[in-house]
Amino acid sequence: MEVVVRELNKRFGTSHGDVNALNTLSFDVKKGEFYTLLGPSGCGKSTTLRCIAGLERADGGEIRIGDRVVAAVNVWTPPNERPIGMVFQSYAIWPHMTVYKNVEFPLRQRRNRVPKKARRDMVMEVLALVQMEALADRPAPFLSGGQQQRVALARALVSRPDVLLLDEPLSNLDAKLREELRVEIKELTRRLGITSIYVTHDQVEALAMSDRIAVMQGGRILQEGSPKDIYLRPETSFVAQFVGQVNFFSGAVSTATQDGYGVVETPQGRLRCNLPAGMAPGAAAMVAVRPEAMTIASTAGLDAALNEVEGAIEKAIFLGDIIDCQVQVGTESVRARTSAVDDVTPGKRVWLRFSPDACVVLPGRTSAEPELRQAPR
Amino acid sequence: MGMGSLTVARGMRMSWDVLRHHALVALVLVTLVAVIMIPVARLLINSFLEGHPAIPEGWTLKNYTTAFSMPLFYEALVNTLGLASVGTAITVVIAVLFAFLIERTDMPCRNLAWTLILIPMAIPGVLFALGWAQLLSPKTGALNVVLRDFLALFGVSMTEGPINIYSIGGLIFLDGVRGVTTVFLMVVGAFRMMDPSLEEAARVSKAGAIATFFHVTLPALSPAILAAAMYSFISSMESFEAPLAVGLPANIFVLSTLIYFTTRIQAPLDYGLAAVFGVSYMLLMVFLLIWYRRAVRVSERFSTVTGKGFRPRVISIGRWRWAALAMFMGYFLLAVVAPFCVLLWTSLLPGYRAPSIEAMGMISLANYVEIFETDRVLQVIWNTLVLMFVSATVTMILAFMASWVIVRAPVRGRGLLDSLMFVPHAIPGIVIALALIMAFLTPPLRYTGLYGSMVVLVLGLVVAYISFGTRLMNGAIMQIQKELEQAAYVSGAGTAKTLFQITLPLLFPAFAAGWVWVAVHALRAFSIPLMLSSKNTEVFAVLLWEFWENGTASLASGLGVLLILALIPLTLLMRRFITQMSGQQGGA
Repeated sequence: MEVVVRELNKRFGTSHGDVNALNTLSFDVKKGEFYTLLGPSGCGKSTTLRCIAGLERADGGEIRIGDRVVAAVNVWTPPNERPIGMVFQSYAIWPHMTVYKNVEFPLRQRRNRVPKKARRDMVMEVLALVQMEALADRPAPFLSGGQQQRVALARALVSRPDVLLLDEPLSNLDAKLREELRVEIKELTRRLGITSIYVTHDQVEALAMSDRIAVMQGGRILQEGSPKDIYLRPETSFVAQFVGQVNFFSGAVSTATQDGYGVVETPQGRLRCNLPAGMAPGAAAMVAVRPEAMTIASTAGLDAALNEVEGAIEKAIFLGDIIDCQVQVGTESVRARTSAVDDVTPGKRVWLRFSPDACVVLPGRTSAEPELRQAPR
Repeated sequence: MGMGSLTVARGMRMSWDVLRHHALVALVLVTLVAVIMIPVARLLINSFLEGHPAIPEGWTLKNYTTAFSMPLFYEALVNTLGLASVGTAITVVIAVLFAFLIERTDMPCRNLAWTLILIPMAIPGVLFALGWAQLLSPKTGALNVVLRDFLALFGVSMTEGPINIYSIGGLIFLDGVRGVTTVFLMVVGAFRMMDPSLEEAARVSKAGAIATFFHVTLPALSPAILAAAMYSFISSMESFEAPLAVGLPANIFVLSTLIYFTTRIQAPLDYGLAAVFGVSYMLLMVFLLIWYRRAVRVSERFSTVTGKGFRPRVISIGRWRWAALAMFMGYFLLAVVAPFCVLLWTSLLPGYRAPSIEAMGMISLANYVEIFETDRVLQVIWNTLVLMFVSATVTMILAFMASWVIVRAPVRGRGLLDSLMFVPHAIPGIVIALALIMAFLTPPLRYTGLYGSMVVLVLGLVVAYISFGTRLMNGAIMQIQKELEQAAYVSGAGTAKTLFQITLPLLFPAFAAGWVWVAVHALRAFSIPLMLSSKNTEVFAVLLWEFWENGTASLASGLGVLLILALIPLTLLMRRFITQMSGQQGGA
């Protein structure tokens, strides 16, 4: 079942004036798709999810699940009548029931009422899917975080909903468990073919699990696309620095050639890049380059096809599989990385090399935009 | 049906949804408003009516002019305020002293003292007063007899006294001693959580123990002490049982007994006048309560209580330890032992007599046998149990639903509900009873025929205790994560189902604690049952009073002893429940 959200608006009144939590937000989720709303705290992603669930009401706009309008100006379907299942950030497992009773609960409600025999089968089937069938009779308070998460998932899926909503379900788990469950959840939803809407602020999760990602900020969607599109072709500096690490070189376009390439003059050097259509010489530009696209070399290069900037190593942090380097290039601090065996002593002169195809040119910073340098990680 | 929303007929769908989703809320609001506001409104209206409530004769201001030109009214007002002031002063001094001695010093038997100080709560106010009435009645009071014999040794002979309980002094004594437990409980927490470094700084600066107490400890705890004092003052303002048992025979009136007198004793009864007294009394109390709440909020800003919960330093008081213990035992004697013993004494004799050797010879359990053989007593016990169970259950369920609406419901006007739940707290029990009498005597409610029935009695107790129940449930509901209820919604459960299958089971400890609290208070209740019960809805306290008034003090004392014995374990149980609850809520 597809989900269509149109022009969703929501304001909150606070002591400092009104806040636009959602600003004419619109997006479509295709049937069977795993769609992620990704963004920092306060961007409105959870609010959107809760509006789709019916736990909150938008001030304007429309939400459609399948061919049913569940929320609009004159229409409102309460959450218990929407064909959804939801996994909460805190799992919300009922402590006064066992695992079995928790998962069985949706099947006892009027909307989904199922006779007793069929209930048992459905509950055990979905518990098997999340590998919890052995713990069916365990009282809820005796479960670990990961186990609670699985029970929450089972409960959300037991009534075979049309849409699965997940509100940052992995943020309370430790790193290893998060990695494991990430894969499990994705596998499960893919196997069941269920339309899933996932909310998170963790870009690794978003990249790993989603068919499509919508990056949100300030109640709006900044960019929507596949994980590769979002990562390799960010359309704004915010998206570039929110998903992954990035270096920015600001300057102006100096020349543009027929094949779509051009040169951007920056204080750090002349950079040859793929220019987006509509950028003429003289336009302010920001060149975004990801640290992993740069190689650190000890000598100046001879290949004119590659971009190169010169600098000195400021900091080198050993992270196990790589060394995270901060290189002082002129007045800018550039992030780069290299394999653990290289010699990167602080103070050493180095040359950073990267291909023009690794550069993404974004419109230059105007006075209206906030300064968005690389975010310290 | 039940297939979800349709895009057709949008407008209709919307209003049905709103109504359905909020039907529960609307029902709760209507019930609560009816239960609380209708009696109060009735009281107000009747104060402007002439004639008997059953047959009102028209509007008038006569009730007000009579009341405000009656010297007795002002006398009662002055007595009420004076009694409350002096009584509270005594209570606070004793309670604070004991809180300090028990929590912060090395007084011996401190743990025992902590339990013992709770016992006075198991003695209903009327029995406390009756016990002392038997001890200190001028001619035959047991204690007076002993004192007179004692004074005779010095050649002083008296035919009466030397102490007469039927006096303002007697009332002050009763009120002062009675309130200690509550103030102690309110203050002891502050003593326990006080930062000891404040006192240590004083000691290091060469201050002695007493100087430290008066210059550091007391000032630091003054917000808590002041709040407790005001609460005690308000409780004393509402006192009824002692003024009834001891004040009335001496023609000393307070506002509560004035109302009782006007509607039960005076000939002819004057309901209109009583209504004026009720309204004035209620307004005075509302005023005081608002002032109290404001003052408590302000004083909390200056609190020096830290949240750390360490055990503060225990101060050694050397030789004074035994004096402290003696003081405590003295208090316990006065508050519990003396009145209980004299009640027991009387219950074992055919009629009250001053202690003597021949009197000892007459001891028997005949009274108890008589009590248990009377059919009436069994009926009364049954009524009392029914009242306890029904009041506790109805109060807590209403409180639960009111709290849920206040804390959770996505509807405007719940702030109003919160204020509404605070109103009954301001109304003295006697006024609640009066208001209900008016409500069910006057048409149209008169036609329900419920006047004098158990229903009205339950209503009275529900109104009296709903404020406490709501406050308890408020705290408990706030502890429950919203997401637990939301998970139920998205799993297909409606509001009512979620409330009773998810929220209520999770709240069970708080619900049970509240239930026990209301049940114990219902057992102890006196003013409301006294005013509202009729021949077939008598409860224990009423029967007791009737025996006393008819002169069969021995039977009354027997009933009293039984009641106290029943209340002691219940009170301790209730206290344990509430402490567990506050432990869960982190000291609520």
